[in-house]
Amino acid sequence: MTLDRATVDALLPCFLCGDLPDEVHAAIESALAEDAELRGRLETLEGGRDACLEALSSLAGAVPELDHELDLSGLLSAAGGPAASGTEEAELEDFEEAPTTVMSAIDIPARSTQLTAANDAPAATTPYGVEVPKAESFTPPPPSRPLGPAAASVHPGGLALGLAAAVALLAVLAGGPPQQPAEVQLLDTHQQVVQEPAGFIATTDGRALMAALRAAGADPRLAMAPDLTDWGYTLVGGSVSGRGVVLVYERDGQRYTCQIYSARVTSSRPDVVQDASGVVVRGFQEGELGVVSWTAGGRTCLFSGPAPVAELMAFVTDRIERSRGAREG
Amino acid sequence: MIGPHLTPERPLSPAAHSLVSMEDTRLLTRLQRGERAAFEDLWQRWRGAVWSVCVAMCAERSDAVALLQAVYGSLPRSVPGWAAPTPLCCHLGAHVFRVVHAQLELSPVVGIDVPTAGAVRVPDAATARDVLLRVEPHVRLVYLIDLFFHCPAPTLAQLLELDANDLRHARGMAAWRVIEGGAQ
Repeated sequence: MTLDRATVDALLPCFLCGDLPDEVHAAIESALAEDAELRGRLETLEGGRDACLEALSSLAGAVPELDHELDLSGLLSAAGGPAASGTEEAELEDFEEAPTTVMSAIDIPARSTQLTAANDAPAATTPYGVEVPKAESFTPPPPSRPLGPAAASVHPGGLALGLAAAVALLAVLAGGPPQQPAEVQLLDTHQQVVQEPAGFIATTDGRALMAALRAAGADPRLAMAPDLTDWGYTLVGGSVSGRGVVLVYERDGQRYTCQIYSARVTSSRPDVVQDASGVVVRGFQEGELGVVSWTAGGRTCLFSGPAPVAELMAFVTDRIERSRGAREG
Repeated sequence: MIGPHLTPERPLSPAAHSLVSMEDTRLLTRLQRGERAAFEDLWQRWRGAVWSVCVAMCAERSDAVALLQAVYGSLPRSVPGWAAPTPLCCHLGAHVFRVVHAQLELSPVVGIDVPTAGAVRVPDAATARDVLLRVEPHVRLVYLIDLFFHCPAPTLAQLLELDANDLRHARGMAAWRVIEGGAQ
């Protein structure tokens, strides 16, 4: 494999970290052997990293002593054996019984509302601006994952890195498609599933639905059918979506979906954020659809339907808090 | 000079990252059995790195302490999902990333520009600190996790269910910014 100079330069930080594919690593080594300037830039990167380590070490100072003892009760009670996942009584928030090898079932402690990131400039928001017309005429725009144009300018060093280098970089690393479902795709899924497309499993029996979803190929950790009757939502059925699931509920003649995935949702919004017993719940309004999402214990859930987002947020936060209160009680 | 919080120089060979030490394996077993001493051992070894990340991510020291407590307090619930073939440093790095990212509600690590750099120079420590603290928080966090936990991008990406290239881009972006700052 041979790499052009611009690509080698762009990959120098990764070379320093040592986690490139073997053939790419070898190609860069070859290029460095021939190019003193590139070697110099690599050494400068190394020096920059050391400077950061030194600076941050002195900035941090001594580690403060913590005054809370760890609660190991969950680990000790689980030491007798793994608990089953996706049981009939599984709650949306009840993730801790199923140890995962990909995302851990962690319970983020109640977040201090005072916490702010240093220099937390607001992220550049680019709302998808998806217009959600009537289902029969809905044509979703293609989901986009902008690379962002690399600065195409000639620097004093004589290198011109632009979009071509970005494309070359990605081609070299053989990056695959993004793993997170994009917002617009999830709204599209909502619109499709409420119409009970082919493959939809129509049943009001939660246990039967869970078994059917697993049989249809859903990830067993995600194949759940929570009972939401206390809030007026009646289960109608569900279907598999990738390795995740989409459940359909009905309330007052309107249909709502609950999508459950193992990957996080990419979103340039939300409009509303709330903390529900340590779980961050996000929501936004997209036309007539209120959309609420949250992530806990390795699962991301998206609840959407024709209602104001505030109403759906209240439902979701109430359910999470009630479920956690019942577990701790 | 290597300070008490700093981890040793890591090898550049990609193959080295695939090895898990017996010490790590034993410690993981003890952690998953709920041994309090195992958590103390883990924390004693890595608390400096965690604290450095927390301080570098927060504007206020009190917030950094709260973050540190959040990372520490949620360890017992995270550990059951730690699979043996992956080094402990990667599991812990991913855990710190998740907690910090959630607590500070950072932007997703997607769509990071491919980094470019012109004139570069090794900065002094003060300049490195100033430049790094001006980097966007979600990008800075990726760089800090790499700096202190040395987890290869593909491994961290798998643990976090992110795209490895996005992590590489974020890491590279911060790295170039630091040495561009040294040239200014």
